[in-house]
Amino acid sequence: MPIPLNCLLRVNAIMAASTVPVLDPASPNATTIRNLFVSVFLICCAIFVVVVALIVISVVRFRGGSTPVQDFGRRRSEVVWAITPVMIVFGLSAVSTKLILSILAMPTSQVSEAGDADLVVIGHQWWWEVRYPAAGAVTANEIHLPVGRKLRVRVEAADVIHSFWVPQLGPKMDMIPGHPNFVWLEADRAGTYEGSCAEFCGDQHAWMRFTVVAEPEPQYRAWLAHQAQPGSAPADALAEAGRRFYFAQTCANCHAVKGTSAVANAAPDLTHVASRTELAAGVIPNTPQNLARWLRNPQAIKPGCQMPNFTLDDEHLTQLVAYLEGLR
Amino acid sequence: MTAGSIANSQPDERGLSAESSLLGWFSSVDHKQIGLLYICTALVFLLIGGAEAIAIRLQLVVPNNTLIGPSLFNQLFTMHGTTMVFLVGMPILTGFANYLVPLMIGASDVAFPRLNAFGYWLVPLGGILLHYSFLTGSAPNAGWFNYAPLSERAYSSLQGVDYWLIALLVLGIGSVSSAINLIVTIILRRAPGMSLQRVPLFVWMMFITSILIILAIPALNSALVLLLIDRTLGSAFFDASRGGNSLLWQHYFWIFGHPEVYILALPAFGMISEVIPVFSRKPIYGYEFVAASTVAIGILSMGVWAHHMFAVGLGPAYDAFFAIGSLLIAIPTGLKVFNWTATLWGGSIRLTTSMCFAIAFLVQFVIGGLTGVMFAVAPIDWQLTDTYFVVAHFHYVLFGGTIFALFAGGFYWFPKMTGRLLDERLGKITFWLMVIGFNMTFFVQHFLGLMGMPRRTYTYGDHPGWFALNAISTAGAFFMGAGVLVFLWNVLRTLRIGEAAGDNPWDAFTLEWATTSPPHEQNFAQVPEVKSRRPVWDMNHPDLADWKLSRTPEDRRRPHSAARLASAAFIVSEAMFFLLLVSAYVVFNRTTGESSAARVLEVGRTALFTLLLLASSITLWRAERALRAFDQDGFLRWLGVTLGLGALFLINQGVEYAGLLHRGITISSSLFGSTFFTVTGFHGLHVLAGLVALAILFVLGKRGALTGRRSDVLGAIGYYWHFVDVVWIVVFSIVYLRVLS
Amino acid sequence: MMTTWQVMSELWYWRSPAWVIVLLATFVYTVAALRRPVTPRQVTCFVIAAATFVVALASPLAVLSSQYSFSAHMMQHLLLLLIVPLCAILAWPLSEAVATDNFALPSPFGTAAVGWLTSVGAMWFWHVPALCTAAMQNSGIFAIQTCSLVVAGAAFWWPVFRPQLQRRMQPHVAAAYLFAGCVGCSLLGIYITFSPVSVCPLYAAGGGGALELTRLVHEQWGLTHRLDQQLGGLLMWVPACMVYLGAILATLSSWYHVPERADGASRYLAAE
Repeated sequence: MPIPLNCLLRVNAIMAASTVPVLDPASPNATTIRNLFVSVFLICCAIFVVVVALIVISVVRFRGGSTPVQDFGRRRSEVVWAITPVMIVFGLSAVSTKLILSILAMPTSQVSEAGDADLVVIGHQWWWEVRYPAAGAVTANEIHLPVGRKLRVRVEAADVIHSFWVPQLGPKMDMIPGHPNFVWLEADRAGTYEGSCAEFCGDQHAWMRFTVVAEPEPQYRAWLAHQAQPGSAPADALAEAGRRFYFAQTCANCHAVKGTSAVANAAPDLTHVASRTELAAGVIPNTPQNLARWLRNPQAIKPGCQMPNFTLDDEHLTQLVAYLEGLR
Repeated sequence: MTAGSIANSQPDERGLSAESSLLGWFSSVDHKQIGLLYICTALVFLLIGGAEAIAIRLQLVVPNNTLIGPSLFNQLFTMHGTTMVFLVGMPILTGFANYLVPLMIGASDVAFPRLNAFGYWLVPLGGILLHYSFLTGSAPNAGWFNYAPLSERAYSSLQGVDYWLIALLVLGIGSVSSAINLIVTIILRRAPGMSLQRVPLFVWMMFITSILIILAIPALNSALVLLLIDRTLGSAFFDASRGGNSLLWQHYFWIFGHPEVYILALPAFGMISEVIPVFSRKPIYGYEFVAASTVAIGILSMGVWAHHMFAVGLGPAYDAFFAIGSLLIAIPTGLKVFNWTATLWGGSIRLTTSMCFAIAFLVQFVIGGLTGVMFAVAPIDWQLTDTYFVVAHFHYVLFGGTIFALFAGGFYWFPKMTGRLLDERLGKITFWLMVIGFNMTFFVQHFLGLMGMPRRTYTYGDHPGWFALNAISTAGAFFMGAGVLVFLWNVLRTLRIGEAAGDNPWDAFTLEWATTSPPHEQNFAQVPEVKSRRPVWDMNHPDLADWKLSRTPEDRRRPHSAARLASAAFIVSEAMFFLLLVSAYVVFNRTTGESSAARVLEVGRTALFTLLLLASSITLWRAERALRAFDQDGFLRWLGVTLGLGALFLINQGVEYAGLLHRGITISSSLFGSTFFTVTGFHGLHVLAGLVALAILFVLGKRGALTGRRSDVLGAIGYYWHFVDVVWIVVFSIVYLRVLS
Repeated sequence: MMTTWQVMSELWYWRSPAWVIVLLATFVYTVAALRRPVTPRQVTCFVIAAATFVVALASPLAVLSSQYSFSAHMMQHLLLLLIVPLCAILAWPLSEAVATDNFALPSPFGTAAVGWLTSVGAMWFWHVPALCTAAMQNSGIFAIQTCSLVVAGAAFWWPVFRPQLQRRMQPHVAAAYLFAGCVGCSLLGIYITFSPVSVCPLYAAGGGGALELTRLVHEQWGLTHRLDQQLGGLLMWVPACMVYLGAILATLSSWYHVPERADGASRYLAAE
């Protein structure tokens, strides 16, 4: 396999890395699947070329002409022809079985245990709740990973079926209400990888994306420790006014902020919202301006999303942005 | 070809007389008119579904587009999928089958012409129901496979999904009735000498397709019924938060959904198997292999549904086995491709528009088939499913395959249906527009999938390369739209000023070309002698006649009663329906069975009434025997007893229901209640239907209209009655005796 | 700990009665073959039948299925029900004439309904948890189980592949009959695969038996009880269906190839 693989990698290099994430894997499982894909692809190409060549040759060579020999077919030729597909099918069956077992390999005794996942990702309409049970950290739409270490991820759904997919890091896994699934998440090089929901889940399925940040172990630990901290207190009067507004209004009914009385989890946890890179599951980058735009009218940015338009006035908007920007 | 030239003058008269009486079309029970109605209806829906597709592609042409909002976009793709599968694919194939199968086997009509008309009229009814939902403010928007719990009332509170469910039930009933009709027609109405081993491959494929329809559609129906009960009566079959199981919907849907792919593909294979030989001037290579591989595909397709569910985490054992099962389908399919190619080889090929479409079909279907092989390898599926790669894959199979085959068949049979030849020049323009447009639209989607673009997203961010490929894809859609318009223009033009075709413009092989174009009401003045698979070839080329070169099995005796055969086919379909309903009962009552189910049901009393129901089977058998012996009194007496026993059974069921409701056990109170009332309720409805049918026969018998000479009618309903009893034995053992828990 | 190779080479039941039965059968077959000519294909079928019988009852498969692995147990059943009787019937010399029918078995044996009911019935019957357990614990019941599976399998295949060509089921009817058989087995397979209830609780208990083997199965092969049962159900479902499908294709191909004889109708009547 190495030779064709190199060819394809060169093609991929020309097309610039990670434009084609499925072919540019960053985890062992994704690499295995990419290699499998490439070999199956080459087999398919070979078959295609043979069949099309036969069709083209017959159309060119046997076009027009008088009544041909009436050939009804021979049993032997069918059997001879069938040998190739039968062999390919058996080969692929063996390979796929082997890979299914190796990729899904997971000490089965652990599967039923809910608690011992390193990471729990819960799909909501249309955002991702991310929990690190051991550290007690909760975040949303952004997952951090230590490079080179496998995390066991339990994927669940809070409402409808979603599907957890980071193309560069390996196979997708559906998130099904009442049917928790497990999947390995591992990155063998540092970087930022995009993920998305792959199962149609309603209006804003398109904007149910997330980011996976793979970083060296020390940075990862620091990040995790920070995420486990309670939200920082407002730094100035403006932010303090924002905090009061947050609790006076209905914000806390859906959004939690650790260390305060806001504990709901119907919407993303805001404890460290300002530390995240994107807003509203990938719609817009997380900047103060964008945050203000979002708060002014979420429905204009992500129509159909669960957060209503609160028609905030400018003053309250500035206060709220100041408070939320302080939650680093 | 003297007969052909004489017939040349005929099309005009026929065409005019048919057009002039519009009412004639509404009341028609002629298989040809019904076939054309199916095809025309499907074409109307093709335009609607195509317009939806163009709208979808317009929304996706640039990143972050706001042309169509998410909610309308989701309605559009849901309706596009549903329309194309249920209102275009199935009706148009049924239409061709309706028109061609009786002609190809030398019959004067289908076995049940009025059932045929009934089946057709359900299509516009279902179609209008489905599209009426647009007027209610929300068309269905949960996708054509309508996964629960997104399709549950909690997440789709508007009525779109209800319209979807009811429309599909209506369409499903129509499909099953036409499938039963075709099965009976193919088995019973063949001309003398036309053995089942000699029927054209299109007929053979339709036969297998019809069997798949009667097995697969009931699976969909049971899923639809359960979801409808969930949505309207408050049960929780698919609602995990109340103990239901959302994966059950996926299983049921794909038990239907995978055979459905072959229901749409096999007739297309049949058309290709007619077109390629005629334009290669050779018989099909390896007829028996093409036919037998269809049987293999049909059977395998019933057992591989879970390959649509590789990503739901069923576990390694399932994935491995379903991967192998799915890969196996490649063998019979590969064999078919080989036979088509081998038919081309050594022929004398005539590149008519029809043949061009057939060759394009072959190439594109191979691409779709090969990407299908990739998806069968589960790990690849884990990466690529639910991306644009899978969109490309199934469009290569269903558009590049089925629709192209329909164009091939359309150009090929149009002269037979109208008496005029479609314009070849316009045809070639259509062909190139379609080939270029199709490959532009869908080939690039393979790359979009590899680039990580999920399917069913109403828009996308500006990732490198996505815009360019989406723009190409949208441009291609316009080529296809133009192709369809040129085709329609061609049809309209041809109907007015097209060249007269004659009986057999292509010098084709099969029986439909032995009659006039279009055929007159009785189809054939005289059916030619059938001694091989190509009777018309034998007629026109006596020295190269097939029966001299290759022997085929003679015709054999066939069963005689159409009513009984239809009843048996119907029972097969009903058995599948009950199988899935009872499975739902087993699924929801095996773990919690001990507590709720055991205490509330009165097994002893129901056992007594079970015996009464079983006794009614015996009395009905006696009634049938009396009828066959022309003992009218005995017949009425025994039938009366049967009616009484059936009624007693229903009364007991009513009493039991009242008792349960009195204790607060309702269809929405628990999963036991939901499954119990659903299973026994549907059985009760079937008993009631049987009673009504028997009561009608009783009245007819009283009036002397039903006598021993027509005993097969009672026999057919008798089959149904015995079947209902057998179902009850199963239900009784599982629900009351709890043999499986 | 034992290796897989050791299991394959060492775990044979050398004192199983299966060997005696195979020897006896070989003797009978040889004698019969001397009196009536057999084709190489028939001999091959006989060898396959005999070998499968030994594999099912005296090989490591039998050892594993005795108390270690449900899927091995299922494999054993499939071999006994499907392969052994089919090959044994196909091994018998064909006879064209109805008159030389040496197999004047009681009439119900050989009809489609009986064949279907016994084979599907046997499969369902022996997977009722209580009976499954009983057959594992009591060698008498195990013997009955083995015999009943082989006999039921024979009853199933007999109408389709009986040596009297003239009295075989019509090929297209046979296709429907085989499909019905496939459905019966598939349903059981599906039930076992998806059932959370343990079909044979004894395998789950894991007690008794050699610890080494238990560890080999569970740890080295990674076959947990749940996976084991799923695998067993899937074996019953997919490969068993392939056997039926193969038989369907075989009968259909004969349907296409052998031109109907002139006496077709009378023959059909004679069969009734």
